Amino acid sequence: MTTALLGFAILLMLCFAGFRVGFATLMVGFVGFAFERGWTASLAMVAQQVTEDAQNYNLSVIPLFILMGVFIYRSDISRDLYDAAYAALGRFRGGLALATVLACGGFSAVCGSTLATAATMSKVAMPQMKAYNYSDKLAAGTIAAGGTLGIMIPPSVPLVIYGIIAEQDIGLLFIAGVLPGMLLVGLFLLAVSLTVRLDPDSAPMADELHAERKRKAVRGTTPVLILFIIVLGGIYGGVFTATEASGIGAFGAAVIAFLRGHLRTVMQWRVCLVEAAMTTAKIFIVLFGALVFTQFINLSGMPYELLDYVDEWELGPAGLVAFICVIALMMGMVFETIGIVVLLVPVFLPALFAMDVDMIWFGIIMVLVTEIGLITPPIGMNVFVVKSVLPEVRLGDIFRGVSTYIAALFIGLLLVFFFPQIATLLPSIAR
Amino acid sequence: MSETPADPGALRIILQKAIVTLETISSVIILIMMILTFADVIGRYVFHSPVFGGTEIIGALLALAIFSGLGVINARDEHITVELFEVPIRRLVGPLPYHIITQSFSVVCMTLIAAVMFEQAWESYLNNKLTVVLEMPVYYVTGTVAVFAVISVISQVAGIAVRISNSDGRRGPIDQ
Repeated sequence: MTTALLGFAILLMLCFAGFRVGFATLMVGFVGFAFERGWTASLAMVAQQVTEDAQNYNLSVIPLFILMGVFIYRSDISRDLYDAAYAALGRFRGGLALATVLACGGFSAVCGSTLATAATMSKVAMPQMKAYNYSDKLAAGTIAAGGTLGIMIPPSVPLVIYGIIAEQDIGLLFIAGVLPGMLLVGLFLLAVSLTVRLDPDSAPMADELHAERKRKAVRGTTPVLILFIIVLGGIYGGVFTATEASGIGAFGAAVIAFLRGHLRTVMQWRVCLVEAAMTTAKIFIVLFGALVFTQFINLSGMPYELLDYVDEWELGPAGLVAFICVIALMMGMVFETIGIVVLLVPVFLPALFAMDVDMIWFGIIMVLVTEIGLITPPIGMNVFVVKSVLPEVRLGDIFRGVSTYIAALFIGLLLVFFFPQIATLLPSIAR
Repeated sequence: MSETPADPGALRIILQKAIVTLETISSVIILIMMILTFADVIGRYVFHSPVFGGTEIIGALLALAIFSGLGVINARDEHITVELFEVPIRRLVGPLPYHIITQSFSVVCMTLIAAVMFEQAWESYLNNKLTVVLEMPVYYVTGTVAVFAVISVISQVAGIAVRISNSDGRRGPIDQ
């Protein structure tokens, strides 16, 4: 336990000092393992982990879903999604903000990146909201918060990583994310309604969308909706695995982008493929580090000693998960999503298994908690992305704007925590 | 007068070319992965004839995509970091020493990865290991991955040298 705690302390120090997260976890894991078992064994462990995981067919889900997201991102579909959402919700006060939430949910569902969603929607939704004198607080806050929906609504890279570390079925995790994702969209819509009810001046009524633009928006979004249904429906129906679905999704997204007038030149293809390849490399180096670090943590016996403490404190499964949530929330203020999952999950894995915690439900809880971290200070990644795209909006306004959504996320977290069926219902049917 | 590789300008040009090459390799690999996975699924469910050894090839391509991509990420130093205290620590230590310390650590880690990948490749070559389905020598993949890993280390060192020679060691793209 002492070695593991020391390892953790060193790792945190290295990360805070600006050392690259993937390399820091790998090195601490390697040295820690060597400390316990010797250098030769540690070298062999690193070799085995890196080689096996780099060639793991099931992990090809990561680059292919990233590629799918990049194709969708580059196909300029965000405008149509936004218009379609506005066509549905524009008649309500705060319609543009409501449409932003819906469009963020839809875009992030196929794009998969919270940051890309926030950046894109800043460009698409903000000018509209500005034109109708929406307050910066509501407009920018909605965009920053809406972007976080991407990691819950499948396909989600953090869920894949969690699935790998916790050895859970990635397809089931995706299915489990559907209802909580929809719940969060509903809560965000409610948050907008509440905000505009309390402060009507923050969202003046806007004009209705022209009929032709509505038709164009519906035409434009239909293929994406079909692709989403094929990918998720295929997994849900047991037609194909998550990895196979990623191949179908990426190919389908390429076809959609092509039909929308993109991917017509080699350079356009290259830009998308390079972006996907680079993101993949970045994620995998963190994953390698995490898996090596996990080996060290397991060897140190820390997870089993934690299990004893959990027994001693009589925490029970719910208490244990609540305890982990508190730690994850604190980490969320500093670490980004993947960092939290890879550092926290392995430590508590044996205790969670011993307590018979539903690991699919726990995965959704973890992702929900990290989602909160994306918009909480001091490092709310999505807030900073919106700020970088909209430099004229004050950072304080964005942070104030997301506060309502943070409350909505906490309500969502509590609902999923106390009603696990929200996450487990669909997987239990699919099983 | 012609530029030598020791010249920062020449080093930058070589590194830019290496980055473009690695980007092209990794993007082609990802494209093949996508087409192969799609063909495998369609073949399996529509024609009841999946791509023979498809999963093995895709697994191998994944490793190649990761390690070819790592060369670029290392050269540009685009790794995931926690930036909360980076600026004050950089100010405290000084930009250049800070850059040298953090980057040396990254180089050591990447060298470790490259070393173990080489060992794996060498072992699979000596034992003449074959893949299960295609019965292809394992060292074809492990060897190529090891070569990419070494290139990654070299590009990492070159990237550091270019950044140090050009500025105060701040992170950022070197090819723009």
